[in-house]
Amino acid sequence: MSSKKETWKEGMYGDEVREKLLEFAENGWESIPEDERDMWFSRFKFWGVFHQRSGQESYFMMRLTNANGQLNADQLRAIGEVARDYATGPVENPEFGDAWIDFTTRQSIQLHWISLADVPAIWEKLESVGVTTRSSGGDTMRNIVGCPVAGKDEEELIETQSLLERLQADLRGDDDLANMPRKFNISVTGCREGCAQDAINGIGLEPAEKELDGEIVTGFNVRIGGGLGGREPRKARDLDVFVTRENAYHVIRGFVELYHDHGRRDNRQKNRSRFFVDDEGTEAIRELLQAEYVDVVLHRAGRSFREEYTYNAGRPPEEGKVDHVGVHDQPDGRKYVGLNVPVGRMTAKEAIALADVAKAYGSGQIRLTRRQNPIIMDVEEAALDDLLAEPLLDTHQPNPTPFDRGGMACTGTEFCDIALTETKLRLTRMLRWLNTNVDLPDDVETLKIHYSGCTADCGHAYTADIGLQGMRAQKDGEIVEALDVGVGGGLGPHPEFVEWVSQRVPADEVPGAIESLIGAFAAHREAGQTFREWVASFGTESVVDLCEPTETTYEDPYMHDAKQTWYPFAEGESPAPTTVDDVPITSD
Amino acid sequence: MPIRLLDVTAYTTFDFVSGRAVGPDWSDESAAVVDVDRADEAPESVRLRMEFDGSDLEHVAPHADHLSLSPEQARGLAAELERKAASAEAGEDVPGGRGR
Repeated sequence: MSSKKETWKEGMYGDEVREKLLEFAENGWESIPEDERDMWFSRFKFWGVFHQRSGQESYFMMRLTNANGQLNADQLRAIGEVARDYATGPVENPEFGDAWIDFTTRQSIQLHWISLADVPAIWEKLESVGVTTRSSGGDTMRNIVGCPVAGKDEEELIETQSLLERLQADLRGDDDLANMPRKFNISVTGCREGCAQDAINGIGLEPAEKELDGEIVTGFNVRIGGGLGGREPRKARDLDVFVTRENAYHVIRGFVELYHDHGRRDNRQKNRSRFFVDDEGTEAIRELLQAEYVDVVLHRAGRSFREEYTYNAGRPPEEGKVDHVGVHDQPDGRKYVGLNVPVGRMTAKEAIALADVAKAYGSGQIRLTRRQNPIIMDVEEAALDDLLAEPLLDTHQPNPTPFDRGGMACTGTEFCDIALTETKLRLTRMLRWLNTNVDLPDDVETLKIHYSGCTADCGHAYTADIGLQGMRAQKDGEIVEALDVGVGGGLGPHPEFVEWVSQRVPADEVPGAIESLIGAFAAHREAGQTFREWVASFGTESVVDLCEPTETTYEDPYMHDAKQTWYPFAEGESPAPTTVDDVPITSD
Repeated sequence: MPIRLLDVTAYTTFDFVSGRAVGPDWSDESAAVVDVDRADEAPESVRLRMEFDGSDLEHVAPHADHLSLSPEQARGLAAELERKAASAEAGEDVPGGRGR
């Protein structure tokens, strides 16, 4: 039996949705028949246009897309100007004001409070500089992720830029493959640090080498079926395939076609690619891939470099980069400078300033990481001091506190329909409190706290030192926003997901819980151990006993159930739906 | 500590309900998640699921209970809940004995 969404997709999906979306934009919000809204909103996602949550009718989130988080200054400037001019809502966020951009965990950018009527003008402006929103949401191939400093990385084993460009143009661009059974994530990296996080992708290519015909050849090993969410996360599994760069496109395309053809379309509860791999098994998938989907001979896996992975691997700083924050060398003698944007949100004004700064001190190239951060590329050593003195780098520092450096959060109830709690503003306040009140051991450069508003885990709580997921609890007779608290997650050579140590912690007691965990870590760790290493050696059950949620001087003004309001930080009635000028649309 | 088995989002029916798991000579108080949905593998029925918080359970292994209700049973349950809710709100006496 075909699901409702599958029927909608069969009716129309992919590129043909664009014309219809433009037509609705031309005729206004009210031209979308009320009983067809769910269907059109589902289809709009393919074009990166997502209706915001109930109570915010007529406002949309827009997700941009690219390959591997690469932008130039003109593109970022255009994005910043679009945010300044169009991503403005009827009310301000108490922390971030009005008009901002959100960096995502797939090296992309999201804008909020977009009116449908503005979409054509926004597309025109973005597309004029080569930025698109196509295929950034819905049941399709999402942003292809990789090493953000590909081509400019001292740790690179194999160059990937041309492969990424071909995948973007020919595979993601193929309208015949637009309608996948479910969303599908691809990662390709040639670096040895693991920053593409292949373990949580539908298909991930990682650098490898293998002796073929008496010669050592560099290429990739292939993993499939990774992903987070739904309290059923999976680490990608080894497909036991080595592929050269020349053949990599065919193997990725082959697996995408295989999942496109064989992935279940009758059961949305069980049809994500990670469950497809559970059901079929890697060996059967490998055989089918070879028999029907690729012409090249699939070699068995080569020697991987996973043991060298340091990105979010929970390893000590002396072993390698844990992220891209800070000043780092490029092979050409220039530097790249990774800025830290806690919780991934930057004002439109700052985004424009970032574009200007990247052009003034670097080549103008900006790369986005999987930790919601931007990188300024190609900075000459002589220009470095002046760049570091720029006011923007005082706000979004290349040398942040360990807490700010580790903070990531999903969108939360501010805009998301499925989240249970507010996230970005709360984590901002928590990080500020932790910065002031909690000391980490001196040798600890980062502690990764990732916060997701629900079990969908878009904020990657499962791969954090301390992972937080939204929940609710009863406190003083009231239902309040609460968090499940987990510890010990991370990626690297041996990915692990957090194990939960406390459930339904009222949000105002979470900083106290984190303080107790850090106190236990400081008291019981062996010298030099990272938080993740300590959890692994100390044992989660022992950590459970030491996690003590308690009220502190941290204040959480947003404890009430935000889903009962139209916007978590506003009083009164929702003005939505509104005209393009945020004026309520009346029944007249 | 065991993971929460049920997916909990804003679409979950109840993310917080107070309850107790009861045995012959023990009782564990706990918050619970209660969710009503339909399973793709049994689309002709209604699924009622309940899970106590694993961290609150001393006497029973963490688990979730799944009930598969026919549409008729689901309506019967809903009607019974409606009746009892009205009677609770009206402050009516709780019937004694086995009679309802």
